[in-house]
Amino acid sequence: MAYSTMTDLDLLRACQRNDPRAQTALYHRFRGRLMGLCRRYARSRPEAEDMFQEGFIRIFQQLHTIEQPDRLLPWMKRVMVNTAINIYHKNHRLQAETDYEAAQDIGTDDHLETLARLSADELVVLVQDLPDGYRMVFNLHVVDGFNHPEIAQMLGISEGTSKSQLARARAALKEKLKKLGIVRYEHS
Amino acid sequence: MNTPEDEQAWDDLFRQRLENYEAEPAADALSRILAGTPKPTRMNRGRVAGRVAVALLLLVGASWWILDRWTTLPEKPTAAGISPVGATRKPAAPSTMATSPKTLSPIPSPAGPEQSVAVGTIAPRQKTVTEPAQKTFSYRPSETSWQTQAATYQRPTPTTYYENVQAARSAYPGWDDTSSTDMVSVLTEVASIAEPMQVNRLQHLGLRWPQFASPTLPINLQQSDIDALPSVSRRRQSSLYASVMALYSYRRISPNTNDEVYIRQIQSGRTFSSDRIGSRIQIGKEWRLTQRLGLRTGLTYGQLRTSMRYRLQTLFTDSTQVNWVNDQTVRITPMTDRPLSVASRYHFVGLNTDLIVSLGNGRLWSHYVTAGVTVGGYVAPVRRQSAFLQASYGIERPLTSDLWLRIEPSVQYSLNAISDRRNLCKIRPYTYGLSISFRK
Repeated sequence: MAYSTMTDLDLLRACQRNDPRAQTALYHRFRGRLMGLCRRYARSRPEAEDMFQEGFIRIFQQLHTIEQPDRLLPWMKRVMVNTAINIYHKNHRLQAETDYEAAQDIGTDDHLETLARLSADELVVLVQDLPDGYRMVFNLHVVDGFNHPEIAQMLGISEGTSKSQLARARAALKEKLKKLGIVRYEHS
Repeated sequence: MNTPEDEQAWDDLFRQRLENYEAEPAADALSRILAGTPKPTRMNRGRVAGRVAVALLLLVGASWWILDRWTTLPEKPTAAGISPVGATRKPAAPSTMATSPKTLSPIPSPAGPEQSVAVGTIAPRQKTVTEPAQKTFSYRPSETSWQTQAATYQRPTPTTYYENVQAARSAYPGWDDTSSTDMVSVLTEVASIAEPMQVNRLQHLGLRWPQFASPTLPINLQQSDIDALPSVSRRRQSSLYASVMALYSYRRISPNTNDEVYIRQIQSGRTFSSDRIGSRIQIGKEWRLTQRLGLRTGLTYGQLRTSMRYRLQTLFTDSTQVNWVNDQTVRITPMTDRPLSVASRYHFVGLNTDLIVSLGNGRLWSHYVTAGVTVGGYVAPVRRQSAFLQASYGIERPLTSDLWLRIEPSVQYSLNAISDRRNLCKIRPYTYGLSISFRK
C-alpha cells in the first residue's frame, strides 16, 4: 500500500511503529500547513524553520501518546503551537512587555481597509512584524481560536494582559495597514 | 472607535486568510528532522557498558585477591570423601595443619624440657607430620605472612603425649598416628598434646572442619565417623532458584519536550527516601555449563516507586492576578510558577537470562559474578516494552545437603526511559540492591 494514499489513521499507526517511510509521508502530507503555522508565530523565517524542525521532531517523538488518532492534524497543530510557546518563553524569559494600560485607545477605526486585497503572505509578514507578545496573543486568539483564559495559562500571563495585548495587536495591525495605504476596511 | 461587531468581522477575516495558510519549509528540513528523531543513546549505552565492564573487572579482581588470601586449607580431608564446594579449590596438603600462630598461646610446661617449635621454620606444604616425635605442628595462615607469624608453645612432656596416644589407640584401634594424612589424625594429635584447647578455639585458630559438620563434633573422630557425616551434594547440572531483591533506585529524569510548559526545579526523593525503593522477584532454572560457567533464566517481576516534585512555567515578572475580594478590597497575587508533585509505582514483568562465572571458594562461601539482561515490559501504569542490563557479584553457601543460600548485590540499568503521561518527565531508572536467593 502506497504511503501517500494511506488514511491519516493508517499513516499514524505506521509512524507509531517508527516506519521511516511513513514518517516521510506524514511529513509531506502536513508540512505546508504546519510550516504556515510556524511562519505566523515566528518573528522571521529562520526562526520559523527552527520552530518547524523542533516541532516535527516532537511530533514524531510523541506520536505514541496521541489519544484521539482521528484528530491527528489538530493534535499536530497543537504540538506546533506548544513549540512556538516554548520558544517564545525562551526568548522572553527575562523580558517584561505587558502592561495594563487601556490598549484599546491605541486602535482606530478610521482606516479599516479591505484585508482581502493583501495576499496571505503579506498578511503573515504583517503579523510577524508585531511585537512578540502581541503576535502570540493575536495568533492564539484570532487565528487558532483559544480564549483568553487559555491564552493566559499558556503564556503565563493574566487574562487582562491577554486582552490588552490582543487590543494592542489589533491596533498595531491597523496602523500597519494604514501605512500600507489601505484606507478602507470592508468585510465581505 | 471599532465596535465589537467590527472587531469580530476583522478577526474572522484574518482567521479565514491565515487559518489554513501554508508555507514551504526548507528543502533539507526532512533530513534534519529524521536525523533528530532517534535519541542519541548509543554514546550513553556505550558508556554504561564500559562502566559495567570496569565494575565486573574490579569485582573479579577483588574476589581473586580475597580468595588468594583466605584460601589456606582444604575444606575437608580428601580421605573423607566429601566433595569440595568449589571447583577451584587448591589441592590439599595432606599433612599440613592449619592454625593461627597469633592465638596459639604458649602453654607452660610444668616440668620437663621445653621444646619450642617455631612452626614458621617448617615449610607447610612439604613438611609432613608423620611422627609424634616430630613435636612440630605447622600451619599456614596465609601464603605471604606465615613465616613472620610463627609462634611457639611449649610441649607437654613426652610421657604425657605418649600416654594420650596410647589412650587414643585403645579408643580407636584403627588410628595410626604415623600416618597423619588425614585431618582426624592431626587433630587428634593436637588434642592429645594440647588438652586445654577447646574445639571452638581450634576453629578460631584457623583449623577447618569438614564444612558441614557440627562445630562441636569431637575432634578425634575416626575416618568412618567422618564418612558418616551428611555429605554435601555436588552442584547439580540444573537446579531451581528463587530470589527476592530489595532495590533502591537512582533516576535520570528529563522533562518531556513537547509540553506547553516549562519544567524546572525537578526534585526527586532524597537519597534515603522511601519513595525510591522497590523490589524484584525472580524464579527460574539454572544450568551448569562447565566447571566455571553457568546459565540461569527465569521470570522476573519488579516494581519500582518513583516520586518527584517540580515547578511549572516561570512566568513573567509583570504577571499579576487581580481578584476583587469585596467592594473595598482587591487581592493582587503575583503569578508564580506552580509546584507539582507526582508519584508512580511502575510494575515490570520480564524474562531474565544471566551468565554465571564461578570465581572459586573462600572459607565458607563460594564466589561468583553474573551478567545478563532482562527483557520484558512495564505493565502498569503504562504498557511499554523495556529491558534491563544487570550485573552482580554473589556469594553462596549450602544450608542443607541440597539447598543453597545466595547473597547477591546487584545493579540494573534500564535501557528505556518511561513516562506515565501523568507527569511531564521521562524517567530512566538505575537500580541497585541486595538479592537473597535460594537454589535447590
